[in-house]
Amino acid sequence: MHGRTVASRAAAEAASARGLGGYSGPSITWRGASLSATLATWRVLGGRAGLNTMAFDRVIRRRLLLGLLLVASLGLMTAFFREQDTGPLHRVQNDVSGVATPAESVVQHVAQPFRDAWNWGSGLVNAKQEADRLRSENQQLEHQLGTLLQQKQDVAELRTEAAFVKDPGAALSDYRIISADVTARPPDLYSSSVTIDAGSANGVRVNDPVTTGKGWLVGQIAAVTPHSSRVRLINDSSIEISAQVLGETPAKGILTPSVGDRNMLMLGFVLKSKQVSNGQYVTTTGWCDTTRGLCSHYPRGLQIGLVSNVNQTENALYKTIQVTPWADLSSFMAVSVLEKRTSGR
Amino acid sequence: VTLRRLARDVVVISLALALAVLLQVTIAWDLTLLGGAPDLVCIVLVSIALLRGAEVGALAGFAAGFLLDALSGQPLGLSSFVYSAVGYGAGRYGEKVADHAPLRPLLAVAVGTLVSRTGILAVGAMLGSSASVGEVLSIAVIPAAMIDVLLAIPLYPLVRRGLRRAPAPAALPPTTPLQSEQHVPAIHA
Repeated sequence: MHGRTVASRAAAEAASARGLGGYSGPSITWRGASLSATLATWRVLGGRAGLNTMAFDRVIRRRLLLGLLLVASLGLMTAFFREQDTGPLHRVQNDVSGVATPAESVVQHVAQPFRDAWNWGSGLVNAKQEADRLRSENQQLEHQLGTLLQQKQDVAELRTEAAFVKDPGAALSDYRIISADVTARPPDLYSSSVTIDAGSANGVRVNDPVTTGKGWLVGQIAAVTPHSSRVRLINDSSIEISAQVLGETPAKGILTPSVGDRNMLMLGFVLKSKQVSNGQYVTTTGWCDTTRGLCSHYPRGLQIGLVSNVNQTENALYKTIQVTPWADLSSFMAVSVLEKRTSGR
Repeated sequence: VTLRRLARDVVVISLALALAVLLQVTIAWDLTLLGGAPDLVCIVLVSIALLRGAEVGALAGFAAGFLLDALSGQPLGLSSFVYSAVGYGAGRYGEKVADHAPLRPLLAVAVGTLVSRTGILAVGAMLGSSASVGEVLSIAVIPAAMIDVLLAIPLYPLVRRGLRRAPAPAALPPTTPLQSEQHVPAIHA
């Protein structure tokens, strides 16, 4: 009975021989005998201890194999790094590479069309990403271009301003020039003004004339804070400037903004006897009444603009002269404040 | 398995791995898509390990890694180290999952690629490689795994056909006396 039990167990173990054998595939036959079945029978006959020992051996063996391979790999790496280029491992590498070179060459030639096709296909896949990248780059470049153009314009404006500051002319020898930037240009239908970043701390005072570019008059200081000022422009409805048209006999008058056109000025109170024609220069008069102690806020000879139209009617007492200012009153960004030097300052 | 079939397996596995290594070093590394390149060696190795078990997988991984290192000029042992572990892991997975459903090999290839690429990068970094591990991981590994999965769809059946798929390797037998008793309860009765 005991023998039958053992035999049955052997058969059962043989049926699941793959669980006992070292090889994990089907059972191995050698000289007509089932090697796995034989081994299984032998192991079962050897007792439970033998069975578990063999299973345990297999676990150990496969882990040992992996461990050996990993250790061998680490050993290879260590030896490879420790030896010189003429060492045995490097020679093996070179020899293997040399043996495989002809095969690699053949594969390269055969695979070239496929590689080209792959690159063409991957290029199509990457085309959208490339287009997006280029579009984004184009936007950045356009932004940089706009910034550079703006900087170029600012530089040109500042150079002109600097030339004026450096040599303002003999007429402005009594004036100190304070340079400033326009910081705000509030839109206003009823007045025309800008804010600059120079104030009383810089020596700016109310009613100081303000120029831009080559000394073109743009307005006067209307209000002052320690570090900023408000400039009332020459096209503001509340401003009046004594000006003259340069010629053999200067035609003097009062310059006011043109009604309806903010970029145009009107020179009024010019006697009809005065000869005025288009293209003549208009500058400030810079009068001074010494008997009353009154003087214009504007120095004599500040450039204002050019005569663009002269109108004269039979019934009118004076000529009506249109003046186009030199300065673009809507876009200048740098100004010079003319501060008159006084003995007290 | 007869000795003849065993020898045939050895020949087929050797040829498949040699061809995979050769194609890998000649063309595969140039076939980049979305920053990732296919790893033919990993695909073939995982396929072999799934079909033939952990021991064969580990040995095949070591051999393929050695050949790859030799042909690509890498330090010998670098790929062997990683591919041995990948082959062993894939083989263990194949033994546990007897049902080789279509998606299982693809999953194994994807995981194998991720592990092998990460492992090679990590070992290379420890050896002083100048490649930025984080950058390569974030850019190249995921696309490489995706490409490998796509390539495994035709390659895995090819390898299986070459090996004339044997029954899936069995799991290890129980190792404790109690489990052994439970394994054959009816015999004593």
